[in-house]
Amino acid sequence: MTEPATSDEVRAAAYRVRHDVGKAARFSAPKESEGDAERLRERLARDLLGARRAEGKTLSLPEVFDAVAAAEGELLARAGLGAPLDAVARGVERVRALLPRLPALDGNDLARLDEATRDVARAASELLRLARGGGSA
Amino acid sequence: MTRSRAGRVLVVDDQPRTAELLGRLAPDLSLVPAGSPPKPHAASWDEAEPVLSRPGRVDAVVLDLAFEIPDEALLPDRRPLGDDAAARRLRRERRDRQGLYVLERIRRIAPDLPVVLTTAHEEIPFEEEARKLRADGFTYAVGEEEDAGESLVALVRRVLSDREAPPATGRFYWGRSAAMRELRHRISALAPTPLPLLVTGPTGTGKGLLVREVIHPLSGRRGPLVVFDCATVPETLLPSALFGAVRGAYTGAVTDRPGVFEAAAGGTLFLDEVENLAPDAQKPLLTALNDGVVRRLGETAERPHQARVVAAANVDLAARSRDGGFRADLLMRLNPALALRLPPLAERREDLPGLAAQTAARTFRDPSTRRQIVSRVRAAGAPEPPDGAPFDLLLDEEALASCEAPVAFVLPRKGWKAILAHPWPGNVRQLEMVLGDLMAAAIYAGSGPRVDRRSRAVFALDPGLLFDLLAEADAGAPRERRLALPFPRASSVEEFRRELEREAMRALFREAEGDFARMAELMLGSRGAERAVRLRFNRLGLSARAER
Repeated sequence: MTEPATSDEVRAAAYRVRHDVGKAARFSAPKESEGDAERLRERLARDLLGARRAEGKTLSLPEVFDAVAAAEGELLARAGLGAPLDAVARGVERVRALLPRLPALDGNDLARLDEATRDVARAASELLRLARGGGSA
Repeated sequence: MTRSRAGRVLVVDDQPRTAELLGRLAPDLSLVPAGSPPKPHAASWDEAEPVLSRPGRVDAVVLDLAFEIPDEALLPDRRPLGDDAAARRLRRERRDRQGLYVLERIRRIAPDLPVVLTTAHEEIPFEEEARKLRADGFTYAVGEEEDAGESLVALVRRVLSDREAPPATGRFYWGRSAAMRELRHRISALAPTPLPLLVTGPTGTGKGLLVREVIHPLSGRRGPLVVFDCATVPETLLPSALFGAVRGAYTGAVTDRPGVFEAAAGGTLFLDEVENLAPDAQKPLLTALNDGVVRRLGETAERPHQARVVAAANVDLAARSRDGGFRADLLMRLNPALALRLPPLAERREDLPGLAAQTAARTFRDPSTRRQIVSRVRAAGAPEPPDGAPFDLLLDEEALASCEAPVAFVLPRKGWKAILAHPWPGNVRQLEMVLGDLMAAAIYAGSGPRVDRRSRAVFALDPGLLFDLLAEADAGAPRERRLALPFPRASSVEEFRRELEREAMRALFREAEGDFARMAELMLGSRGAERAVRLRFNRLGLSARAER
């Protein structure tokens, strides 16, 4: 039988989503939007293709999310946080769909990808807020 | 190694992203390399420690709160937790606070080094621990407003620039604690504005000094600073003292007299202990703040005033306002969101050496004290120190070896340890009094200084007296008070809460022997809220007559 998770575990799991995925998605986003497609492409490549580097491996944001979701998804679902985690997953899926074509994306698609990172960050924040007992939005 | 003008920063993070971000956005900062082969960040404590152990190598640390490696990789001297369910759970629970474990170790070897703790939480979590470990908090912004890199660079620059700021403004000692640095920045932004300000903090933290030495001078206002202590003026005299009175307004008002609002025209009106302001005076004060006008007692016309109001409170005004003892609208007008909070001394122990040095310097500057010191030095057979020669307070006997001053006061190490460990309920004021008394005893009593081999006069501060002074200071501190309450029976949580409050009120009524002002003092630390307490007592269905 699986033991119920402690509130500290749930909070730490949600924090991991926020830290590894939400924060990483817009890690070097500037205050003012780049306003230049190539600079935006450069930043998205930096943040999304190199979301984690460890032991000689570089992981993209969707790969980091997959690892985090595999490790923490069940615990978060058991804590009733499946839906907010799904919201993060939906944003990550939009990133996953566009990321392989990043070098060739036009300005509109780059903006869509940037918007998807925003949604990932927002959803991860909301997940953490709920995990810390913030109630529903 | 050449010291970078902008500052040398060690990034402690298992990921290279933060170091890369700083390198890209602030190329003038020097990122201190760590590890082998060297890289621009330390990925674990093993990599950070050799860098931090070399004094003066680093000006600031940027430390991530959460790492993507287990504790035993981050802190290699830790035993691996294992892989059973309990270990996995512990590892999970610890994961978003690993930076604090690193910070504890940083503090052991670099107690004063500025550390910026970065987190993906919406606010700094584990705030108490982070504050005790004296970290500057940096939190990544949420959602679409993210500008993490630029904000982080701004904070790092601020922390670095603080190194150059003088530790004191006049008699007000800032020190180096993160809380005081934050306060300094808030004040530099708020003091020059015309906004009313609220200064909070327990007694003895220096609220009055802060207003006199810092806020008023920084305000840029040419008018005077007028200090008004709301606790000492009798309630009946408050309106005329604050707003003035015209001739004949009351018996004895033989001439027109301006109040402190008018006296502070073009300057600052400092309302000290504003929590003691009687309810009758709170309303006109609100009008004065809202509309910029006052009305003298006995006069119908309003007069514009040009005073900027700064209020100070020893108590939690929000709680007082909830209990009806302080008008909520007046509190809002004092901009509680911008309140300038002076931390208790126990929260800024790293400032103790600086505060001790400042107290000693003030003592040494006093001409009559200096004369007395010189006279005792002469009597002991030591060479008379030249005019203006520095005198030193040493907090450890070993410091004498490197002391260049001709006169030194030495506190044994065990004495300084006691000072460091003391809770200081009376805060800075109490520290100054204890040190002042200790030094005065050595100067005016005792056996005088000894003359050491380098012909210096060494006054020994008496640790026994220090312990007595500290014990006396404790005795004067407010003690924890307990109420014995009968256990209420109730059918709902709400009813239980209400019954509990009724019983608490009854117990307080007995404790205060039916004196509502005394009850207010016991409950809220001030007798001024007597009316609110009486009202609450009645609303709970209690009757003073029945309880007596």
